[in-house]
Amino acid sequence: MTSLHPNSALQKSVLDRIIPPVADLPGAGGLGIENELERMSTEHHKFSDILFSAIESIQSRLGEDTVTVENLNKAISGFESVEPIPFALLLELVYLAYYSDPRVHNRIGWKTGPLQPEGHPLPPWEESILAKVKNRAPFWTEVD
Amino acid sequence: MASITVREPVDIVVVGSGASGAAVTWSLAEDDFKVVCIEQGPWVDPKTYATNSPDWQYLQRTKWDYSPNVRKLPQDYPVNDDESQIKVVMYNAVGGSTIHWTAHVPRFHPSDFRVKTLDGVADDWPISYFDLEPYYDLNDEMMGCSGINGDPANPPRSPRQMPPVPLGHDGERMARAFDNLGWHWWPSDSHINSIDYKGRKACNFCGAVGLNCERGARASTDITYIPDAVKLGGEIRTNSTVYEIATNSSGKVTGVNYYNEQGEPEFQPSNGVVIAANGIGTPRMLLHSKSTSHPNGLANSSCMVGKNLMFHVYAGANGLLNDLPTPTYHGPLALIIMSQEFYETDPSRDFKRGYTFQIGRGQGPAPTAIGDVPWGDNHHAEFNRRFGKNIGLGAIGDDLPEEVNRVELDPHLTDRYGIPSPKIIYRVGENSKKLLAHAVDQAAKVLETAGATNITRNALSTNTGWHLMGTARMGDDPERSVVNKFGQAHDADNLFIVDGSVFVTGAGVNPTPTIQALALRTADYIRHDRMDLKS
Repeated sequence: MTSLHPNSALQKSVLDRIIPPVADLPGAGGLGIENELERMSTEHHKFSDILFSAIESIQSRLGEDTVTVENLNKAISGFESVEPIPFALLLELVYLAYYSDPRVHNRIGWKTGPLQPEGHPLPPWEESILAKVKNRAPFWTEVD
Repeated sequence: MASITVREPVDIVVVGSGASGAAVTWSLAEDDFKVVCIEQGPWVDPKTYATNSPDWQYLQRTKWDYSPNVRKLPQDYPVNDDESQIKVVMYNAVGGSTIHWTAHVPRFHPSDFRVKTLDGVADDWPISYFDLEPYYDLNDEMMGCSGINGDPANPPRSPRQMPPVPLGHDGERMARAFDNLGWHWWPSDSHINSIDYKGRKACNFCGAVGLNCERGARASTDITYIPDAVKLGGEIRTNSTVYEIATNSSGKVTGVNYYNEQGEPEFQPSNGVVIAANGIGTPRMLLHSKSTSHPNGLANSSCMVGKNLMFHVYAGANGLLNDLPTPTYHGPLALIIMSQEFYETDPSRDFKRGYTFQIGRGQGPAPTAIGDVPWGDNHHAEFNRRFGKNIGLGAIGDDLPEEVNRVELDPHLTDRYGIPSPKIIYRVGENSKKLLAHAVDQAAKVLETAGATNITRNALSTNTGWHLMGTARMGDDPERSVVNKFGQAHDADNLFIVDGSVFVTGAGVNPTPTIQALALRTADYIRHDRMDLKS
């Protein structure tokens, strides 16, 4: 059982419409994230069948129309407006897969891999920033 | 039906090992009570935290999601929140929802305990801030608090264990914006280590504070109270789901019935029971524990169990800080500064009580894209505009209690054992709507002053049911409350409740330190005034 759609050409086109190519990187359809999409769809119930059913819905909206950017935009927008919850899940899934890709991380300047153990640097705490507010008189309400 | 195994009797059973259950278990074990803490979830191995995985963004939205309805782990019970404007989130494991919290620990104000007297709304608490103060202090010692004295919005208090968590460039920018407006702000008190503390390392600012870290920099009770409780002889019994608090013909509690790790029913007899199952789980358990002596559900002669559910209401504004030297995803997600400029009631405003502003940072790439960045031709431009620059200013508003907001037992939905699930009926009240509208306008003003661009307003956040309060309220009047000022049930003197259920009002701050202080106070009461429960 696959979560991908058998019409792989349409699936690729839809993914590329959601996240188009940029600079030297292909879009979500051309980046080769199908395996990641399938893994994410099957590892947790939240995304089960989302990709497959979304492409089905978009395909039915396209009907006999040629797969052009304009027609795809119209079909995807139709899906978005009529089925907002499945569409939001589709977007979440595609964004997760795309923005988990090391090539994308490299382009946007994000350090790929786990958040730990490196973390991020922050300048040390500097108490002088309290200069103004700490001179304010107490203003909490006193009660018995 | 399978026969029920009866365990050796103990002094006290604590149901739940989260913020308050862990504190009570530790305190009672310290005084040699024979105490067993029954927890429906497992121990969570810090090595499995999502922050250790390159797949953390996916994990954050699936099996580490805040919602039990999304996670659907074996220990999670489904929550029917279809009729609630705010969706319920919680975590079930040793440590409870402290496994997943952001560890922001402001205290209630003295006025929060006297809202009826001061403002003519809701009810006064039967205790004061100063009754709780020593327990707030003890809790900070156990959990480890980073912060600094001198806040003019709050009473003077004992020094924190650690200096504040650094503000970062974004925090400093927002602090100066508050200064420029002449408004209050102060570094957030947090149970995050700014320096090494009690064998746990200092935070290294990875950002995803809600996903926890192997460093132990962010306190959770599985690494603070519970190890100490176990050293003192307390037992943590995991993967065990309590389905009924048992009572005798005189109405006293006799122990708990539960399904053990193998799914087999067991009975744990005890001299007393402390429930710490959160503001949803506790009323669920009480309502399900009907008996001839408690026909409306346990401790429910007042019919107040499940009623007066409070979340905190959240709203605010978001913007972009485009000229900072470092990205806004550097640093703990939600722990920079807070402002209580609009915390206390002001007669010139059209609502009672108030709110605290808290700052939320940017996050990693997928969380930035999801929810904010459109698909299609503008996708990359919009993503680039936001990533590393987004900042949020959220208001956490006092959510006054209303009886119509409630927890019931769902007539159809159940957990894996067939125990009825909670059904949540909740709508945002009129006072809250006015409060939030005010907060959104002020949030936008702060962001403008900070130089933020692309400011957007959020009238109500809905996936924010983190704070579960009010459903077994505390009070002196047994006809209007479920427990007394020590968390002791009016209807059963050996039953205690120590989670957010007992809150009379919710205040405008994160509730966990208050929940824990109340729990430590109840434990102290048992230790000193209920020695009859000790064998």
